[in-house]
Amino acid sequence: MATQLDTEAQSSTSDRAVELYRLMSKVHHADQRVRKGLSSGEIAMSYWPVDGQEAMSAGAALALSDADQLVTTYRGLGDVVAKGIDLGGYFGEILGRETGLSRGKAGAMGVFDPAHGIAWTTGIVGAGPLIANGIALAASIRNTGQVVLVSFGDGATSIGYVHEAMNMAALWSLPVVFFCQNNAWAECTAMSRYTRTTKLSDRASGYAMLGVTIDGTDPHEVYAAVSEAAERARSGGGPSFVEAVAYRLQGHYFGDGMGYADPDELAAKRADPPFARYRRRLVDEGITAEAELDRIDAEVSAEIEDAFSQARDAAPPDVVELTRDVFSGNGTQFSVRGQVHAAVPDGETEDLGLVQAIHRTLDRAMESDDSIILLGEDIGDPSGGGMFKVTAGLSAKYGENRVLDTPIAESSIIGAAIGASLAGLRPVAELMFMDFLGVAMDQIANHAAKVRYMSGGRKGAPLVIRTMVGMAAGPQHSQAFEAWAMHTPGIKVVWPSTAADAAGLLNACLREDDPCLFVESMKLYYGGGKGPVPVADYVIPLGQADVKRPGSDVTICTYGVMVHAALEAAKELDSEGVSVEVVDLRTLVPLDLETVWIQSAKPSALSSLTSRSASVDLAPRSRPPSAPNCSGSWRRRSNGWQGPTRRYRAPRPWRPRAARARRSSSRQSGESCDRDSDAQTRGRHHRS
Amino acid sequence: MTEIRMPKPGDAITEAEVTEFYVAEGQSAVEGDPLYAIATDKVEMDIEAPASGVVTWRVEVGGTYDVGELIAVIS
Repeated sequence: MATQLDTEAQSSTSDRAVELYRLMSKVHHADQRVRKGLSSGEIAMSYWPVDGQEAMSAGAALALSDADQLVTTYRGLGDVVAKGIDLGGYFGEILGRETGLSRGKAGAMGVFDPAHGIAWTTGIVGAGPLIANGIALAASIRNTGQVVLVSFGDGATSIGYVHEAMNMAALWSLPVVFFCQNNAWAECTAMSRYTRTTKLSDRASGYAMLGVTIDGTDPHEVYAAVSEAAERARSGGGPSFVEAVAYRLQGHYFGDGMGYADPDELAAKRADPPFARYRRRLVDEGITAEAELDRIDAEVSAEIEDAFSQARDAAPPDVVELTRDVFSGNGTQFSVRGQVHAAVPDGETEDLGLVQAIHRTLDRAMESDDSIILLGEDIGDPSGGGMFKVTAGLSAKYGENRVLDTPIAESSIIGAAIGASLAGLRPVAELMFMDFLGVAMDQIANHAAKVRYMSGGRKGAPLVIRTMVGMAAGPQHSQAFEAWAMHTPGIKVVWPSTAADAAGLLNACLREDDPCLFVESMKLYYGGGKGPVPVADYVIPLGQADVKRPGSDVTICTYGVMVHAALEAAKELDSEGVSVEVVDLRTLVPLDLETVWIQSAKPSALSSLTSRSASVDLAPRSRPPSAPNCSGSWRRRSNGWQGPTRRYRAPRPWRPRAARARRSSSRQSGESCDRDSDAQTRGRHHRS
Repeated sequence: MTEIRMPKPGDAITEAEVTEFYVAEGQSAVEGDPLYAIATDKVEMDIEAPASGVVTWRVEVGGTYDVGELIAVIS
């Protein structure tokens, strides 16, 4: 006779078996409904089927608690449906309707439903694990007990991001489950054609992480493996790698006829799909009656049909909607007109270089706001307190869980910062040299910059990326790439020229709800940038240029270290009787065009009217940041401008190591904007 | 009755050729089974029957049809 405990155990096992069936059925019918709509011409969109992968999503989702978080990919229908997404919002989103979770702006590649534990979705293969780390980091810092399951395909194990993420997660014992859905295909390429590894979970041992390979067509096996991994993560045992092996029964996308698959193998796999097999098993083992499974299918299908048809019939978003949600408050790359420029407070000052000013600002901000954390290479005291000592002493003061020394892996640094910002923290990530922007560019341009847009304005990524432009270390450690960020909608770009501005602008960045790139000039770090900084705390709002020197003949617009070169030039020219105005842009995005353009009809409160202008930056040739100022000035011609705007910038493509050549590359080299102008205006204006 | 219209198996695809019928006129289709085949410069693929029932074809094999055009009716 069975004891009461046995009966309870049996009933809970059988409940779980049925619950797994219900989730598989939901995934199966949702996938089928979408494919049915596509094949009948009822709907048209890009879609990545999950037929054959139902057990993976169902087993994993059931092993997680409601509060646990999921990060998935464009082939995420199964994962998000099993996790419990709002079905109407989901279908609306993938169909590009106004009822979509993000009002149709992101589609299947950007599904975000935090209320149901769907923390982020990415369309970039392998990028999810980097972001999952940050979400897990936030959970770990705040002791929420949450686990983050990041789902990705077998193809993603080839990309460096996944390896960076595994290393960081293992190093910090983050509560992450790396869930590799091995569906036998990296898009259209068979596993044997992209790796010599036969068991992808073997890769975990390279990062001192536990790895298992299981049957991804058996929901019980998936449930057991993910449960074990989740419990390990929850109890502080760190991340695990679970490789679930199955076979994708449909093409990489709807329209892919799978001509690359062996037809016999494909036919055999399709003849025995995991969902039907599991259904048979439940009936054969006497766990559930067929009628009960029919009832579940009918219930699930009705729910899906209802949500799907409503989404299908919903309107597309208004055209106006498509340009919104780039910056917080629906701001643009230009600052609002007519703003009152903030003044640096009067009172006691102290003489600080940029390093000390930034250190002081971070220190005070961390003290008053415990959501601020720092991430970067060498930034902790055990590693020297930062290459330039900006963060020296902060890990000792605030602990190593708020000042995190990272591996030399820029994508994982920015990814962790993004994830942490999604989870409510305000991370400050350091990229030691601006040249390394490219190393992390996918996380910066494709993720941080797009969080607000892809979430339909529901979430921003309030993080600060501090980076430094060097001086003399050759073409890979001295470059100014602010133009890359300026050409990426969604990122604010700040470059202070004085220690006082640095403190106020960094304070603004730490209060922003958008990602900010905060650029620091090495030349100003110590003695070169030393100047009075008010002892009191203050904020200089982004998007407010500053007239560093008034003048009446010509205006130089510049920023960062070149402000000092401009001021020197102004002094020299003053002795020749030329009055030079120097405008320090301070932030490149949002750009304060009102001050730059110095309207003739209505002179700005900050600048007197001059009739000629020059733009100066250190960026490489071709598309420097001074370009918009030039073209902007051209448009202002009719309002009283007399001469063309000249651009002064680095004349060589890259900054060379050789000292003599380097000096020459920094020497002024003018180029008149009227080279770019059209014939009509060229006829009317001569070069000055 | 279910209308079968020419699907859009890729963002840039505007038309496709119907290359084969797997179910003859007046015969029964089974939901999920291949119903007909199409070909474009990008893809050749089988289109599954979105419903079960008797098929009435509205196009001919060998013809090229715009995305959205009525291909068949299942009733």
